[in-house]
Amino acid sequence: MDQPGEEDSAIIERSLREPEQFASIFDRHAAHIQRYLARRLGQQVADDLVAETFLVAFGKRTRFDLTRSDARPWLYGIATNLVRQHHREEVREYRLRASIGPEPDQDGHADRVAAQVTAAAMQRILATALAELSDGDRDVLLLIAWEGLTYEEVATALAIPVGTVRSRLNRARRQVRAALTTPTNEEIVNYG
Amino acid sequence: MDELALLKDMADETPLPLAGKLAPARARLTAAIAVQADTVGVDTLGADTVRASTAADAEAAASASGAGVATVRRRRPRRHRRRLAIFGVATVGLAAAITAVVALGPLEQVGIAPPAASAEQVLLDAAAAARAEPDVVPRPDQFVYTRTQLATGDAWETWLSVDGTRDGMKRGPDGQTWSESACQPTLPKCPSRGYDPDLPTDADGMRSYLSDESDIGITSKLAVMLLQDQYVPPASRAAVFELLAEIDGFTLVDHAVDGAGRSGIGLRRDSEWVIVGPDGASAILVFDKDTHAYLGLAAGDGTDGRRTVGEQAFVDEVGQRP
Repeated sequence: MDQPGEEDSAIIERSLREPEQFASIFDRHAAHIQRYLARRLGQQVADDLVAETFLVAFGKRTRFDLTRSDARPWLYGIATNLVRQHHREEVREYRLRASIGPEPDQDGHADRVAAQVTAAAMQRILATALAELSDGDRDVLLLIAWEGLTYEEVATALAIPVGTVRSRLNRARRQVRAALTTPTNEEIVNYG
Repeated sequence: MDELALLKDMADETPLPLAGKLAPARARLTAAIAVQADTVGVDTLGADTVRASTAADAEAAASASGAGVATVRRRRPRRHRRRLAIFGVATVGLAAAITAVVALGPLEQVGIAPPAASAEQVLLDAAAAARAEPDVVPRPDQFVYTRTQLATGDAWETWLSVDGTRDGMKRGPDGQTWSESACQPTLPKCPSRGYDPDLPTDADGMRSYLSDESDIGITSKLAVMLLQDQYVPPASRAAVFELLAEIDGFTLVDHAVDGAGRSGIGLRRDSEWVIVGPDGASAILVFDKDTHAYLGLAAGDGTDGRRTVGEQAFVDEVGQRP
């Protein structure tokens, strides 16, 4: 339906008069949005919320800034707002991720076992650290660390100044680093 | 140690979903788009053309009073402006009626097929429904405003003088306009007349009225054209349906239940004189699935899902919208 190489903004502009064109926006971006939602909330919730994200986006498309050629930051912003409404699921997802690790191969080489234990422990530490961040700090950190957005794109997504993106990222990284380097944790991390 | 890299590891195990996994979400989106597609068109059209309508009002008022353009008092008398929801559904709210017509999905889709009524039965029921409607009589100096619109947003509008004594107008989707000249009172039939109080109210009378060409096929085409640009009072509309019920060659088309939970039965004509919609493409008469009340036209042959919205109202001036 869309011309290859055509910008998102052109498609969205057309969709104002021809609504069915908006499906192309889904085809271009839904996979990344779903994966982002799955990373934060688990697969089941993600499947529901990816639909919600695009329904909201469709309803808001008249307010999309047509000077932006890429709709993905805008979509990340909508998805992140939905994540905010599922805080409990998010915390549960991190805990789940931390507790289900690959079973250490008991008969394996000591180094490998150690590495596997470390990886599981790492997940646990990170999961706890993420859960303890403020919402705004966590959003920024994950959009950058998991989704690879630039500072500018995060600013667009969350409708905050770039300076705020920077300060939230720094604070979030400090907190996570602190969690990884507490004496007990450091011991776990450095096991073996 | 780089906490960003460690975080990245945490996320790397999540895969990008394949299209199959995203299919249900995509279906929800397209369903919502389909339901909204035509009401969006209505809103867009209304917003874009308010200014145009105002300009037309101003012009009309200025020329009528003979005054210059300097100060123009815009009159918008409300009491005589009646909005008719859609052909044949005078008492139903406009939004609901539009949804009923245009939210129909691809016309060939069959869900659980209901017992197939006959085309004749559908038309007779539509006639009965029409006869139960209240009559609405316009003022002679008003115009019948008719708008038909496709899902693409293309819309046709016509303004026909109620008594035929004033010039009317037709406007196409790209803004091109044609004028509809006022009728000469000496002629018996006046195509630019928006309302004919002498329209027959029974099937036989309607057959005579339309019988410039005696061929049944053309009769059915004329009957449908009557339903588009000119206002047909309920009793006469009933007569049209009763006349159509006597004609062979209609095919019933079953519909799936639409997103709004409404279903309709379509009537298609596949013989040489197909039912023609406002864009010249073939069209289908649509009736409410339960009551068989006439809902309007659906454009297209059903496979492309284009839909038509019809709206009629009485307005005071050419270019005005209800």
